[in-house]
Amino acid sequence: MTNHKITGKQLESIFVLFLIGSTAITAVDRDAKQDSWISLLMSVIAALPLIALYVRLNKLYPGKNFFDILFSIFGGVVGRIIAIIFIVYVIRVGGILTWFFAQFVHVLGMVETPLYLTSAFIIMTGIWAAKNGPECIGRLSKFTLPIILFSIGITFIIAIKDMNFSYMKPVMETDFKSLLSGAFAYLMIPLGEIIICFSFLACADDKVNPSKIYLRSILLFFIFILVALLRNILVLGVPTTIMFYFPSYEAVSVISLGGFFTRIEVLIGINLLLAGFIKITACLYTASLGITKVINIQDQKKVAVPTGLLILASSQTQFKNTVEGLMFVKPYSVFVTLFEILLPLIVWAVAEFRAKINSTQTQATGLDSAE
Amino acid sequence: MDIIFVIVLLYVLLILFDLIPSIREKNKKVLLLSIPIYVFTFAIIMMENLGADLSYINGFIVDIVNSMFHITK
Repeated sequence: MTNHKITGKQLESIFVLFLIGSTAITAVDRDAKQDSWISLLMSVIAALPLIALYVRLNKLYPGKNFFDILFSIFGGVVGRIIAIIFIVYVIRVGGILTWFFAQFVHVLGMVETPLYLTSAFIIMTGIWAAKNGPECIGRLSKFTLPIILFSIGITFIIAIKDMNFSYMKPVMETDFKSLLSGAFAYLMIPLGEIIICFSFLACADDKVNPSKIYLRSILLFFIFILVALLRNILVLGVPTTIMFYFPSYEAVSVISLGGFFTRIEVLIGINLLLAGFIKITACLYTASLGITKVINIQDQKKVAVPTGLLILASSQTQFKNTVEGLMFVKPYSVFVTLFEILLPLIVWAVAEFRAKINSTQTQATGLDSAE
Repeated sequence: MDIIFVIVLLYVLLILFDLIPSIREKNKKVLLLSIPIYVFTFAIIMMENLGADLSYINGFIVDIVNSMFHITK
């Protein structure tokens, strides 16, 4: 258990920013097209059992982070091996996110600046935040969330005059397989990735109700991604939306208010970088916490820099270009099922089994002492 | 060559402000982890920025998933 405490609001802000981080910039699924909102709804419903699983794990092991649970359930050796695999996954997610955000800056703004430089700046700031502990990430998130939600809301309102509602038609024209594929992609990236934030629950205030926090976060994620998705499709139309790498940026770039309030796409850039920064920092914190547990040291801050360097190196070895990165989404969403569904399921099943054995033993000991 | 200078500068700063304090504290576990990571990541970042293509891990994942589930690109 850690000494840092984060409030319910801060925890909720971390979860929401983690969820909307990378999705707010694309929002639309390339397979589900104008029916992306149905896929989004399906994914949110499908995420509910996963959330129930995380809440149950937290109830079985209150105040423990994911790595503590792994060690408690599987013991030192197997627990360490699973923890190392999970750390590699978290570092990889952090690397992909860093690459994505650096690519965003590179493609849309700083074309001559090497990707490495942008990535290094993001990671160094992330290291600073992770070194200051989860309470710092919580405070940053609580401060950042209203700005992001306001900018998504305001761009939607200003864009209403440029919207063509016929772009949403025909409704339900997409075949069921494509809808499912879209829902699966939303479920794995970003909904399933919320397992990375599980360790923040261990730092939360005792009054925090995890199920309430998870449900409110998912609801906010659904509302704001839906708003971004509708804005992109209604302003650009489906063919144009799926043509762009970063449709939210392009949709907002055509919005203007009275001829003087223009070029507000910078808001989307700020949005993405703020939310993305929190997401990368959450990955960095979780990975450094995991490394701390594996090598059995007390202070997570001491390994923040090496973890950040691993994420930086990982971001350098991702994709050759943006197209390759976008093509990677579908196979990647299948691959991460191992870490986002299978691993939590195994951990939960073994945890339940252990809890049952413990309760049986306690009952038996109680009976013996009574006799 | 500017980028090489930036990479070296970043590592010098990190060594000064992170690694040397760990050496002074004689924190063996942290040093045993940190020094190999510093060397490994420095080599990877240098190679990538000098033109080596190291993006094969993702290609490997794509190949495995595509061969198992036949996901069209």
